[in-house]
Amino acid sequence: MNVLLSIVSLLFLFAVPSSGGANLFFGVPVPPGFRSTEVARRALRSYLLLCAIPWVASLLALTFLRNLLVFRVASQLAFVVVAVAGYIVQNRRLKPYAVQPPLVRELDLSPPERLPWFTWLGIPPLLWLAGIALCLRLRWDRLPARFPVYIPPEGPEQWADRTARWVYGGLLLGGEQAALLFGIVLAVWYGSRRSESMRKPAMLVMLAGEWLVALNLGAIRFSLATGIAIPSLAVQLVPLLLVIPAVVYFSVAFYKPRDPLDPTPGECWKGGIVYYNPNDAALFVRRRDAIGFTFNLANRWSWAIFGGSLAVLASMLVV
Amino acid sequence: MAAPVLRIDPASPAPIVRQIVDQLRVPLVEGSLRPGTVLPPVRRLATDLAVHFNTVAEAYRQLASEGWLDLRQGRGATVVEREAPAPSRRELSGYRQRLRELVSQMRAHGVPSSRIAAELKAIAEGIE
Repeated sequence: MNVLLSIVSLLFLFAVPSSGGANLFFGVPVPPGFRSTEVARRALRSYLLLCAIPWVASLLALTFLRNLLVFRVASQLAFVVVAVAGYIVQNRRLKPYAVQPPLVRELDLSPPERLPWFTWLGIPPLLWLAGIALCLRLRWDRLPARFPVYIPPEGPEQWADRTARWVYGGLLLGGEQAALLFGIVLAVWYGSRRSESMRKPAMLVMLAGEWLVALNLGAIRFSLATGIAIPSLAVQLVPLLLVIPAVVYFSVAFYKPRDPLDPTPGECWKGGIVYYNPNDAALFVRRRDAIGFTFNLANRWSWAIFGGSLAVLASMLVV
Repeated sequence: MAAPVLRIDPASPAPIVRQIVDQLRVPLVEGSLRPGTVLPPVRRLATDLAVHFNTVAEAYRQLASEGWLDLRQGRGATVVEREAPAPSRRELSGYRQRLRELVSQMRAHGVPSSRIAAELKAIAEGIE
């Protein structure tokens, strides 16, 4: 399984230089036909070679040092770090060949669009988790003294005592993650440009993720609160049925004939990965290194979202 | 009626605030932005134009100081009815100078006087 994941991650990294779209190469806007030039081929060769060497090392570590967790983790981490460094190096090398997209912006002054109806699909997961918590509170005395907290398909595996931490902890974690994702949905709507056609697909992916989190983390507590057992297969499959179509829709929307490149100034892209522009009010802009959006790190709300993510991570460790 | 269009060019020598003010003033004078119209919020406009919030806020403030917008607390930037003030002799002289410069520039680019006169007439009547 680990080897398969490793192969998938290598293929992913191989695809990264060109995944920003037809007019981007290593995050650098390039003229048509640039990819077939010797400069581009050399850059791609160097990057692939750089990725392949630590990948082979990590594969060897996975095969021969499988009992040494530290080596396994370190080799995987080194592989990713080297790949990112290779990407940044090639981005810098190719910058002299960059074509600056026109910075002129045109905007009609029609009234701002209303929040799409599907945004409100972010509320039910929060209500679902809050409802389960309320139900557990009301039925506290009737809850079993011990209950399973993790149910793999083959049956209960981990058990917990009836304490506030174990009864409510998963719900709290789910609530935090769902609230963070819902906050990001709203931030994508209000913090990205109106001309950005990927706004709605990105929101749908986030909403599907929110449903996945809420259904997964609420299912066991729901069974505990109501006595109705949800089949473990359903717990794992139903949320995926929401996420996979959303991701497919997002990818299809991304690879449709694209809007002109978001006219962000080239000098505001650090390594082709990080966008920092204090003179741009946008919170989210189209990524240049891959599919999707990235933060404008000069916007203080980006740090609020990072703070929220760190808080969720800290909760995972505590709960 | 189609919504007025703003066109911002960061490479232009004119500051972005000036570009926003000048371009918003056109539909205000022409009447395509009528009194009571609420302009896009500062954050929305700044995000869409890829400029800083303060740039748009300053442009709105300048238009408010000219009497075109109402920036009362708790409301969006709203277009208001504006009485055209009588221009002073000094202001008229300034406009004349700017027109002379523009006409000279057009003549230098080969636009004939008759065409310039027709354009100016059409613009002035269109605005009325």
